[in-house]
Amino acid sequence: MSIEAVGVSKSYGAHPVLRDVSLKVDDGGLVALLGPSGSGKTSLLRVLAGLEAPDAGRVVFGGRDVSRHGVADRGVGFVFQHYALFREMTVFENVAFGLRVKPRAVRPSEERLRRKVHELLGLVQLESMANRYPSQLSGGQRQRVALARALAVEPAVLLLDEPFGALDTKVRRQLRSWLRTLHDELHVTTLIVTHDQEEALELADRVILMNDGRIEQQGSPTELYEAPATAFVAEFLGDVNVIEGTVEGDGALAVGRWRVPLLDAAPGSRVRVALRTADLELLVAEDDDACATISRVADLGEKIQFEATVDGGPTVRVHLARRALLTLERGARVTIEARVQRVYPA
Amino acid sequence: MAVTSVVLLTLVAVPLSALVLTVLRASSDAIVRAATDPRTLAACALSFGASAAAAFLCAPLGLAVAWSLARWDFPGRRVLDALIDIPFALPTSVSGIALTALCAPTGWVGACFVPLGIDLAFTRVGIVIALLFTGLPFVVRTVQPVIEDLPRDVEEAAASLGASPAQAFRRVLLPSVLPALMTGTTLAFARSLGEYGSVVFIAGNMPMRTEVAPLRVLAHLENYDYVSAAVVAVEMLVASAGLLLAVNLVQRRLVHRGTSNA
Amino acid sequence: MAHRTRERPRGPVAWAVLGVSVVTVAALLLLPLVVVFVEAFREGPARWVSAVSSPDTVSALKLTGLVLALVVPFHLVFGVAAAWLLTRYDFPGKGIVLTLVDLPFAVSPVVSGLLFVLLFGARGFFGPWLIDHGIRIVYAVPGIVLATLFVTLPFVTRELVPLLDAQGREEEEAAASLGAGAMHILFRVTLPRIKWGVLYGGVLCAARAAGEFGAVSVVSGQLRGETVTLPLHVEVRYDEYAFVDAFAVATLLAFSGLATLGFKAWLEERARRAMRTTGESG
Repeated sequence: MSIEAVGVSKSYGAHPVLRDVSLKVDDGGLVALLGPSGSGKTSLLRVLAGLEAPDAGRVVFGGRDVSRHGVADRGVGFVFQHYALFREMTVFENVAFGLRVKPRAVRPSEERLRRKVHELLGLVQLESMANRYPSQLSGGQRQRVALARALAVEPAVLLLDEPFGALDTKVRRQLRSWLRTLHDELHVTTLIVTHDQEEALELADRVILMNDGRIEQQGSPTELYEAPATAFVAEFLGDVNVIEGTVEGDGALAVGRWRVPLLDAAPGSRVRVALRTADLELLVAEDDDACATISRVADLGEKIQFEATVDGGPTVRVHLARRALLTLERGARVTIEARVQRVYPA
Repeated sequence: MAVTSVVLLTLVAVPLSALVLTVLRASSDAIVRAATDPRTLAACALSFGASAAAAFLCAPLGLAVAWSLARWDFPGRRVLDALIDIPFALPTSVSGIALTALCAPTGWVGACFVPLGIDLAFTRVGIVIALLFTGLPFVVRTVQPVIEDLPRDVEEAAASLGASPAQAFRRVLLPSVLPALMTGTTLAFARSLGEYGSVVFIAGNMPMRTEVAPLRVLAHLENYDYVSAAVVAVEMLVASAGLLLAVNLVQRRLVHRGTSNA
Repeated sequence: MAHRTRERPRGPVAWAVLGVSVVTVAALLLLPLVVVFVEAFREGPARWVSAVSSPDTVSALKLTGLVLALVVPFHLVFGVAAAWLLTRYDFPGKGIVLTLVDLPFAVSPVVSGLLFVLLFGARGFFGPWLIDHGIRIVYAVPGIVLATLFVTLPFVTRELVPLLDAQGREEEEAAASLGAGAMHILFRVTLPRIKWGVLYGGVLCAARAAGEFGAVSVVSGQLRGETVTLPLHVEVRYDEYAFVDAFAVATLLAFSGLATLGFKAWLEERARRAMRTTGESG
């Protein structure tokens, strides 16, 4: 079922958290809502779920306006950051909860309920834990129980609020790829809120980037990464150096001794240029040609991070492949070349 | 260290052993006579029954009050919150005469029940009312912080799974509050068993009918019958200690699983 | 997860529960307090003034003052010492000490009084010896002080143990590593940080000491003008059918009870503010 928000606004007191937000998630899609904390992404998710009422705007599921429906009637599966498991119930009873509270007429028989719960526990690979209590599980296991519980009521849409935020990096990676596989199996329309760009880019077909209660840009991970629409998007995705200045007569930006030729910038305008650390190149140069000195070298494992201090200018971070380590050392004189640059008005 | 031990010894341990020694030194005849004295038995039965009745009334009322204070915002909430501690703040003799004045046939509350042919003061009903007064804050103050700490997302999870508010309350919230509710109710019960000041005025203290156990202790003391007084005291202590122990055991079963805040 | 915000009650069930709560508290807890003042002023303020300034009331007031003056300082010192002991040292029998500290809460006031009669009464363990030496403890002021000491024993300690536990030892260890002695650490590092807890425990202790009725009535003997405290005086006048006098004296006790509640509310508000400011900076 598709999910749609139309002109949704919401504020807490005088503080607006959502400003006229519209979005659409197609049936069967997996979309990530990405943004820094306080950008309004969780509020948007809660409005879609019916946990929060918007001040203005509509929520439409599969073409049907559900704005007036409470969370219990929207048929959403919601997964919370801190699992929100029922601690007085076993894993089995947690998953069975949504089936047990159905009206008598549509409640499955005990036998069908058991079969269904065990099937779901098999899906999340926790069949052996059915009789444990939540407090006896690890964080990753708890979140899988929470997911099984949400799936038990066969929701038309699955909404996940920072589902892996409370887990450590390794478990997070595992659950991420497992969730992707699960989605490819079940095709439930899924919207996942995250502040972790790697998570969003890896997991989702489409990423919606939010900032300050608004949608900055939406598109495929590649579109967002390759063609950021605003300075905010460019600076939020990837590891970026930002330099600011006035464009000179020859169309270049001068930062200390470093001159960055810009492709199409009007001379005399103030610009803000985003340069990804991976899009920069360092070349060893003779004294007169060099514009910067390597001030620090850090081995990050798969890549090496160099900090180059521009003469009379800022320090720029550059990421190079491992082999570069051999030729560049601290104190070396270099020039910096930008392969890709994104220019925005300052 | 030395100071603490000396104080505890002289102020608590020695007096308590005096109680035990008094009973141990007495002849078994005297103990049996004191323990099976019909007036004492009736008083103990009354204390236990009235305390139980008050505790069982305190539980739902206390839960309602604690829920209101913890969950809702309404004008006068802070005042209501402060009023809960009145029974802790008033000396028991003051609450005793105040409750009696209220419940007497001429009192504000008592007068309402006269047309119905119900006497509140100087009856067992009056005793239960007094014990409700002293017991309610125990339930409210034990349950209130637990309700305040109920995680919001658990409730939202229940709702998102299709549970009605009533289903969410009964299946998810109540089980979380139950251990505290039991503790609070037991505290109220145990306190009621030994309650004296707020009860004596309203009870009327008629032998065999409205005389509570602590009063028997005083009656024996007036006759310099230390053994009988000590025996009644031991009975009261055993009853309340047994009660607290029983609830502790039940609780341990209930909460063995809920140790972490999953 | 952030602390939940309180909402307006919604729906008929919520309003019904709230209604039951308000009625319960108003009828069961507030009315008795109101009735004390109404009865006390039934015959006008002049009558109230004469009741609270009668010689018997004044001597009861003095006795209660004396009990307070002896009991509260004693428990302030003992409470700090016991709490310090319980939170800063590990020793065999710690559980027993904790139980002994808590015990007076679990014992009926009447039984608390009885304990001292069994010890010092005419037929008690030390009774004959005391009579031989002409010392009166029970049915005299020392008995009242002892019984009050017993019933108020847990207040200060109970208040301080969780405070000291929560505070941890880091600062004290830092002070010790800088060469401070135990007394120096107690007075310069620990006490300043728990002073509000000490004060609160002391106020609770004082309120109970001033208001204790059951235990004191067992050991008092009710000798008018000699062993009658304020709460006992309420009973004495009530039993003499001097209801207005009884309620007039009760208003004095109710005032001090209300003052205690007010102080508690003020302290909690202070703590809430303190938490809010640290929460914002953190």
